[in-house]
Amino acid sequence: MKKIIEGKNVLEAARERVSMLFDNFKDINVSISSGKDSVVCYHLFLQEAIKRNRKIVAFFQDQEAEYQSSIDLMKIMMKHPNVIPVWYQVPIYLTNATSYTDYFLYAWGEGEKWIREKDPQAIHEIKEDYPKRFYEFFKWYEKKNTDMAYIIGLRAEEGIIRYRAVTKNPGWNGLRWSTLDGDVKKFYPIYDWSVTDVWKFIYDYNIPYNRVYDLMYMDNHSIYSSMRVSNLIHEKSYKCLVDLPKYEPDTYDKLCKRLGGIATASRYASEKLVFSNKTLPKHYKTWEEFRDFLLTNIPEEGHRNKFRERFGGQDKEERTYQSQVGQLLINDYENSRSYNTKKQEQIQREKEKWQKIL
Amino acid sequence: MAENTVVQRAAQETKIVKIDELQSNQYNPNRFSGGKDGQMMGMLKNCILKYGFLFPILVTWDEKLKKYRIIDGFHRYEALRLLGATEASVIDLQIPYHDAVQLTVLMNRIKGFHQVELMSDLVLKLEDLGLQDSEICENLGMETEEYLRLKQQLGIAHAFRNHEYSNAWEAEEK
Repeated sequence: MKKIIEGKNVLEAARERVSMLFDNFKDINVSISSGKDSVVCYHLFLQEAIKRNRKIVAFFQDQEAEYQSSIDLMKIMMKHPNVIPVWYQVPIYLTNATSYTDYFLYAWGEGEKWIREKDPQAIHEIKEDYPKRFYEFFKWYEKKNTDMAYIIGLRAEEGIIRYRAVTKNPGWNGLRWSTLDGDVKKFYPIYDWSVTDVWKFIYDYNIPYNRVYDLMYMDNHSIYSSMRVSNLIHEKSYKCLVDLPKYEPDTYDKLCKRLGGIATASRYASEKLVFSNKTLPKHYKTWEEFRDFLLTNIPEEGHRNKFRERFGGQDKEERTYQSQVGQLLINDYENSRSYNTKKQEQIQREKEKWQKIL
Repeated sequence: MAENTVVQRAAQETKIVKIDELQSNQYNPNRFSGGKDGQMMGMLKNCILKYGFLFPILVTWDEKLKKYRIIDGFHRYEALRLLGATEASVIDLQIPYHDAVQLTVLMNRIKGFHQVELMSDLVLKLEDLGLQDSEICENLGMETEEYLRLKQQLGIAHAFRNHEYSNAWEAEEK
């Protein structure tokens, strides 16, 4: 349940939260993606750090397939004297949602032709063994220092899953805008901000932000639903490839040279067919039939078996087959757009409930 | 290097035929973009009236139909008909069906895109040249929303300068 705090706006409340964290933690780590929310978090903490003559850690895992505008901004954010830069440009595998042949981008891989040079401020090499996948890398990094406060710019407004993430279970010290992941303490100090608050803050403090937002705005994107900046190719973000040639033609060209499937995604990612499971192609009578076709045609055996195994344990019904098609079409190797009918229905019910409350 | 015959083909081979001799093809996947057919057709008609019919329609003679089958230029052909034209200028390429189909797709696909940033600069330039907002919108087929967003170069944050911060809230037990 959401309880309004009378007489206090989101900025005042966030400053109190930031100040409390500085009082209680020696080390503060702000994850920055160059997206607007993380930029707001970074500046809230930076302003307090300057006031207290302290430093914050700015963490960015560079996935190589990023907007150039993101990198331009990153250079500025990492350079501040009150910031300890932790900008990883180390080899890591990323799922490529756009291709049946290039399943992964081996970002910053040894001997590969990267789309841009590494930045002198960044960390180029890790001397120990580390997990070379995105989420595992995050966890590995966080576990290294469990005295740290990990700051994440999630906002409840962005969707029911995020709403739950930032409010459901009390975390550190019983705070509801914190979660505990083992010994790792995470905080969401702008959980109650709306997108308009984010832009107002950026305007008020004249904060440099990602240029791509201006281009999206000029290009008639809705500020609420479709302005998202992240890496360019994974299963939740590849739709940005439709617009990339209009925003950053050079980045687009480089990405095309780097990896298969980019031009195809750019042409079709917003369609109801090809990458999407909204419409059953007319040559198939059922989703099951279409799924079987896609499954048998995955060129690489290990990859094929991975999906076979996953689907084997799932419900035998058309809705499930349809979602499996969705995963196959975008090469969702990591199962991040998983679909479990019962769970989905429960989320839907919760969502409706929250919509009534909010 | 391109031979003169290649370069001069449109100039050499364009001819005038009766509009009734043209026939649309059944395979072209191209269409005017979502929901804006009416507006695009209006722009096309205005463009033809203002500047003339500039590009001949690409056709190939279909012996079975006894008509010129359109390869590229269906919308221009439609515009001419709506404008009450009785003739059209065409180039009869006389190519086999499978080549015609492929050329149709090539003509659709070989085209650039507008870089948003430069498009924004261009709109400002037109304004500097003395055109009115409404003129630019009408001439370029932009709705007001698109025009304003292109025109304002102060960035997205500036658009929220007058917003007031929302109330803070906290989650509590149900």
